[in-house]
Amino acid sequence: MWNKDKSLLLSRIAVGVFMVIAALWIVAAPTLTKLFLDFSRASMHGMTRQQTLLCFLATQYLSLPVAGVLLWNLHRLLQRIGHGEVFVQNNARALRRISWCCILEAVICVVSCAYYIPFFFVAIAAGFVGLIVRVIKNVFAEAIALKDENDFTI
Amino acid sequence: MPIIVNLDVMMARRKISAGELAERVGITPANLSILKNNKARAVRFSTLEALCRELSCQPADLLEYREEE
Repeated sequence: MWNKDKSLLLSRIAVGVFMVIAALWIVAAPTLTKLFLDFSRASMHGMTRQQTLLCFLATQYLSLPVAGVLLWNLHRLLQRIGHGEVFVQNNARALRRISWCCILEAVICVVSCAYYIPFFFVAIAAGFVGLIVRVIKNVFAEAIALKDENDFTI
Repeated sequence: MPIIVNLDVMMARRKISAGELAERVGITPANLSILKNNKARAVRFSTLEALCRELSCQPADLLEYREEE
């Protein structure tokens, strides 16, 4: 029977999988980018293949630490929820960091539009997710205040 | 907070321990401690009623308004 513990476990496994992918990406990024350039034949205006490759790698290696921070915060958030600590300040802080990571990722993608326009769509998606997480963080902050009020009502 | 809970004074007058009062009122000793140490944000009427009943006092004996400096 599906229950909240299994759902939480699934989320934690998914975060773990993404952590592994991010770790592997550090090593595999140059090869995968070369494959992508060969496959997509992405033409860069006035740039050699080597320059294009370097630009793509710069975007990815700038994004990876941001993704790492985001995934670590997600991991810690799920860990605390697993321990029954849901409406606590640390979770609101984690959500705020996640939101800023998404927005930072959007900025990186906007800058990357200078050499590859489709990054614009990634930027929009990242910015939108950042906005949603920020709203959730605001809801969490209010819920924490309500919980505090309730806990100290005797 | 300018509202002071004088629970410890009344408990001393009635010579009742925190554990016993908590049990009679029906709240946990931890919650009674929150109330006694002025950490509470609000008091339910039902709790106040039980406290007044067990301590044979009026709400005014337990609560006091003191202006903040």
